[in-house]
Amino acid sequence: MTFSRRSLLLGGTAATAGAAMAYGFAPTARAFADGVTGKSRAGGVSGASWQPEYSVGPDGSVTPNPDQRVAFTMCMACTTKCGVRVRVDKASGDIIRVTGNPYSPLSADPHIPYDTPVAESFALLSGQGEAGLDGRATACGRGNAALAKYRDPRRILKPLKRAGPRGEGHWVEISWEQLIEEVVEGGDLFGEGAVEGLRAIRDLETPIDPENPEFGPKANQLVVMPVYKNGRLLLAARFAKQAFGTRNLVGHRSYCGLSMRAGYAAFLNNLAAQPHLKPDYRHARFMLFIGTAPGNAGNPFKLQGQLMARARAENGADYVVVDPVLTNSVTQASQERGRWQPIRPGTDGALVMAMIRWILENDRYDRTFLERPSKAAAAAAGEFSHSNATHLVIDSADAPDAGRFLRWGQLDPEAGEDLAKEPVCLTADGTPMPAAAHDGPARLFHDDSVELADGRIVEVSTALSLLRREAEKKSLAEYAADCGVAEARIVEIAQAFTSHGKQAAADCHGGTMHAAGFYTAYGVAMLNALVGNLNALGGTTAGGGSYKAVAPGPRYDLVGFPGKVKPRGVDAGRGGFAYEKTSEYKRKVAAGENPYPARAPWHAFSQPLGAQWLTALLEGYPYRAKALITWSSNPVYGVAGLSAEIDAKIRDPKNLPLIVSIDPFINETSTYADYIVPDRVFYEAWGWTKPWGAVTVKDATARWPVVDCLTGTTADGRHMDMETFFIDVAKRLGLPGFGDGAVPDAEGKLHPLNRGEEFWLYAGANVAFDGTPVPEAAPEEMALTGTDRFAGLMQEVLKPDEWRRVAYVLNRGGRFEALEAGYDGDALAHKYGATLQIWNETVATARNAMTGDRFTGCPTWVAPAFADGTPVDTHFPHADWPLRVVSTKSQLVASLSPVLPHLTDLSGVNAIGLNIEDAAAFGLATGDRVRLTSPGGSVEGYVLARRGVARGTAAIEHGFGHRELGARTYRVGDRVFEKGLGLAAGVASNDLGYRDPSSPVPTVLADPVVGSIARQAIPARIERLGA
Amino acid sequence: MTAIDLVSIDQALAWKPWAVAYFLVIGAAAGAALIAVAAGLRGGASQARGALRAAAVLALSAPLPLFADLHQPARVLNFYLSGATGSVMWWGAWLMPLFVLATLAATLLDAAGARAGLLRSAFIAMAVFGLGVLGYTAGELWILAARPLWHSLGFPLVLTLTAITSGAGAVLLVPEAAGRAAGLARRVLAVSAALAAVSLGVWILADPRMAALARDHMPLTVIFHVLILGLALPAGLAIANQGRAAAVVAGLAAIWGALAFRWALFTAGQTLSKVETTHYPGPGFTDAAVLQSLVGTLGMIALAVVIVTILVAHVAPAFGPRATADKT
Repeated sequence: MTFSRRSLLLGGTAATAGAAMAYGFAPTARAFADGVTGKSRAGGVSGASWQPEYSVGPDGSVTPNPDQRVAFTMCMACTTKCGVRVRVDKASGDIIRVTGNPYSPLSADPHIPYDTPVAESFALLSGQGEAGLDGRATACGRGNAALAKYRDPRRILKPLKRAGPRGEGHWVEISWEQLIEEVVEGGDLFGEGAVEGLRAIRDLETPIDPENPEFGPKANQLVVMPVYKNGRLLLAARFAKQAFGTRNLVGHRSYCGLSMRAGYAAFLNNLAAQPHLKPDYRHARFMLFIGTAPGNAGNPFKLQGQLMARARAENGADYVVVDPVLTNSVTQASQERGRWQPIRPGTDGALVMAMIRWILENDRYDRTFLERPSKAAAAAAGEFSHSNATHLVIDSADAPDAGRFLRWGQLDPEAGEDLAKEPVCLTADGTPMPAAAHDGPARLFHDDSVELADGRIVEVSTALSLLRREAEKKSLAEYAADCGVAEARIVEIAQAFTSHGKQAAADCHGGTMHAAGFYTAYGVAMLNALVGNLNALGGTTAGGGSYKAVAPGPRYDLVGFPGKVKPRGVDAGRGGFAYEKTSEYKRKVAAGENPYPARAPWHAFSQPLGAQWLTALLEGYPYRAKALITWSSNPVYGVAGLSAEIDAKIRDPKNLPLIVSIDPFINETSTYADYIVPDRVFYEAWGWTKPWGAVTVKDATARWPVVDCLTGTTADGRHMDMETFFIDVAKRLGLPGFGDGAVPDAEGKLHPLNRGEEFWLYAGANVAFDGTPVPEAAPEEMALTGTDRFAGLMQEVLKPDEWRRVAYVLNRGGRFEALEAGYDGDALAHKYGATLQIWNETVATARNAMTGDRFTGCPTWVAPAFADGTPVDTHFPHADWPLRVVSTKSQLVASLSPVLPHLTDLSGVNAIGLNIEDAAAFGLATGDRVRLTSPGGSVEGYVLARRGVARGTAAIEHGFGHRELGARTYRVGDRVFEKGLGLAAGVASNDLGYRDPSSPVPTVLADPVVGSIARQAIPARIERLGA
Repeated sequence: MTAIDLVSIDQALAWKPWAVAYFLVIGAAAGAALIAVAAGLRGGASQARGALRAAAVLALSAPLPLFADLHQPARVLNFYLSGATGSVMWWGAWLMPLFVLATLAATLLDAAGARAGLLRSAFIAMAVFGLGVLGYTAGELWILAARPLWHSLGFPLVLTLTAITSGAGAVLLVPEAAGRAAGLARRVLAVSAALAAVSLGVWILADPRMAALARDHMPLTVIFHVLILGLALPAGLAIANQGRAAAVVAGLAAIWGALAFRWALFTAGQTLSKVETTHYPGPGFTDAAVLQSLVGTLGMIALAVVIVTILVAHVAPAFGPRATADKT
């Protein structure tokens, strides 16, 4: 009986235990079963994973998996252009996985020696020999996920023609021949009346407008908007500018980071090419980021994140991130090394000018550097760069040459031609000298009047005196009040920045894209001058440069060709052309009228302004376009306020008769196209790029088709893509530079350009032969990476001594200089040589086209304003518009991609970020549904209340709130492509952008100086919506 | 259960609630095993028996919650297919099963009345692997520099001390634990709980992150459940009252304290914002995964009681020298 009761007790306990365990361990059982039986392609023990691509023996020997290959190429999931390695399943041709290229300085730190055999590079990646993570080469989450683009069911693989009104989403497939025929010859293409084809538009003689001859010839009425510099841009440019002859080809800079580029360009004295600086992370002791966040934003974001982590962990570097939104750049892992400084959106310029004021007043600047008036003087003092701080500027407001440097020839009319152009500085005892002729220190601060040789007496000041004057316009307390950063904190940051000699650096980026952006960025650049850090170890670098690719190279001249056209005329967005040079201005002056304001802003020293193109062309100011070709670009999504401004107008073909989009997908811009030309996604494409910045060595990253191209083929077997389209259009038009005899080699012999591959392989030969030619690739290496798939093509296109060397470069995903080549003692090996502009006379002599006022030639604090100078906050006061909206770069989502399933799993939606106290004041909490309304539009989304948002700020992660790229249903013939909701999720801050109320002709708000789009600091109000 | 981490990325918590259950059970098992060894070495196998039963039940219950904590349980074999001597977790993958085997072996040998030498070897193995388990469990959490709450002096110390406290508490719950073993368990409980309370107090005073946890984030859990209910109360009871009821209350309270400490540190360790800006909703007690981990582990312990009972009462004697002796 006892036994039985005991058994019952045990049995009952066991049964209860079993029931409890069945409940408790059910998920574990499911996960285990899934791991064992799910997608049972697994061999061995590792759940459902693929077989490894290779295995490494204890001796380091590599045994490749014969079913897979590993290829090094270039990523294009964002604009960083990292070197990646792609693992491909040979049987299906699918991409299995994407990681980093260990040869590439963008993906490995340090990158492996270039002459490492490919098989050995595999072994080095494996952690073999207890190497752990030392040899790792990484891709980011976005880079991993972008492989889904390749097989995306929404890809455009055949040419499409719209089959209904523009923008309705109804298409039919047409043949390649019909596409070329209709685009070139025009006709009544849509039953809506005659449309001019490209043949009619290509007129290099007849002016667009005889009244305004400066606009240039009719050929300028073809406007081409390509994607960013993705490595294929130069073939599009060859077609548009050098062959077709339009001056209107522009990338996305004006709505991406133009304020930053222009600010650096003014400082670096190269407004045409717009170089920019990045910290030398490997040696810097202190870094200041304003409107950028290392590792989260700013290209190359992945490398900067890695270098930043090393700098704080291994070098003890400190840094401050000034940003209305705390992103990934300061985390618990950075501990006390990194500090986040919240700031009121759009007011970074006040902080920067306060720092400049404090640094100048407290003698915390690098006197030795600033005092040297010339390159020779700087070299004699052991400096690595020099500035015009000591150069005298003509400062009389009424002088015709006000804002210009005093030239030696104005004091000494007898001077020789060279010296006459030289700016003047004063020696320590006050003697005027031509700057180039003085190799000692010159006076830093000086304000006086001087009599010129022509008898005029003018005020002069040194550039640094003028900077000090601008900085002293407000007190530190006033600057602090403007930007919302306490005065003591500003001083603390300035003190830290000036406590490490040249091993301190300041940087900015997209956070400056507001209506005070140019001077903000110029001011951030100026901080670097105050510590004299350019080219110094731990200072700033303009980059290590690249190997010649699409260039007049050692093997082929890919820029010059017989019959090349030099385009002329005015940019369609009124960028880079002074209003004072227009016929409009001259007519008004001749009629005795006040020439100001212009009908819309002109930006004299800026670059072409693609962001303003669509508004300008649809309004016909300066002129109308007849044809628009977009290539993977998406200004309608990317330009704040543009979508609402143009939607109705662009749907009417009378306003813009022909729109052709080259794109693998239908985005918010190509949805308005009349024709869509299929294109390669980047794993199928060719191209050559150089890094954005932060790489101190030479780098030419290669892109080549690591998987087969999926687009349709032409009758002669070429894949349909951007290159084939431009080549076939050019050949049909009979344009120079395309077809047989189009590309001269080094001996002047002409080679054909009938297929895209030819162009990129010629460029590859230039890379392979630049400087010391690379070795020839071994056949077994070509088999490992899959370049052997192109052995026949390469032999056909290239010369016998070239093709294996090109294969050597492709096998490594490009050509990369050794890390050590970037440094030279206390300095960087690749130095930037131009005179740094404490005062920039091009800026100082340009005028605001709306007011006629001269711009200031050095950094200054002007709050965000409309083109006519009206402060945004005056027109849209905080009382009515309590929030300022900023966008932040997403670490994962790229605005240019369709839905990538791997990413939506991680980050399916964005939110409207509010400061937690602001949210409480509005009566809002995380998860509440709200409407955010700006002067230009409204969006509806969910609140995320956090402490990591500055007061008065609404923070929106960029890349969500799409209307196309799969977010909308469209039809091709009888096939219906149903919308997926993935990308429609969340909100797009650009929907809140707005028109500049001060411009008579519609333009979206931009920086008054350079015209960069104001997508930050947008006034807004918020209201709760029902659940 | 998700945490909003950096720029609104939803991600699963890396350490599931199962980790709380596992670390409680394995820590208590090691603590009970060490008490058994100490009692056995001083007073012979009979004095160790109660503690040994507790250790056996808990050791047998430990592997399954750990297995459930794996994100890909089907890949568990990978721990054993390659050597990773630099990984604390890899060492744990060997130490934990060896400890479980040694504990079960000691229990069976004891129940079968094995030779003293053999039993002694099993006890030594149990002690060595038990110390190894305490070392690896503290080490694998402490090594995570990205979690400052864990990567501190206080955490491994209090984790280990509360493991011993809960082990002693478990011993006090076993009816067989009487006499010297019970006395030893009470003393160990009192000393380890007092040391843990002092260590935790110093940690809270010295480390601002721990202070913030105890003050702002989880005052009820840390101050009340761990410090007062889980450490001070059982320590006082163990010293003041030697009755059976007091022993049971002290034992339960000590286990509760160890559980609360693990809950607080694992939850907070993972949900305190890395950027210190946003809400990180951690798991609640009523979340399905939390309930599953608690119910599943309790079920496993109950099953282990049944298994150990059967092994000790019926299986082991059938093979031991006593069985042979009975037959003769």
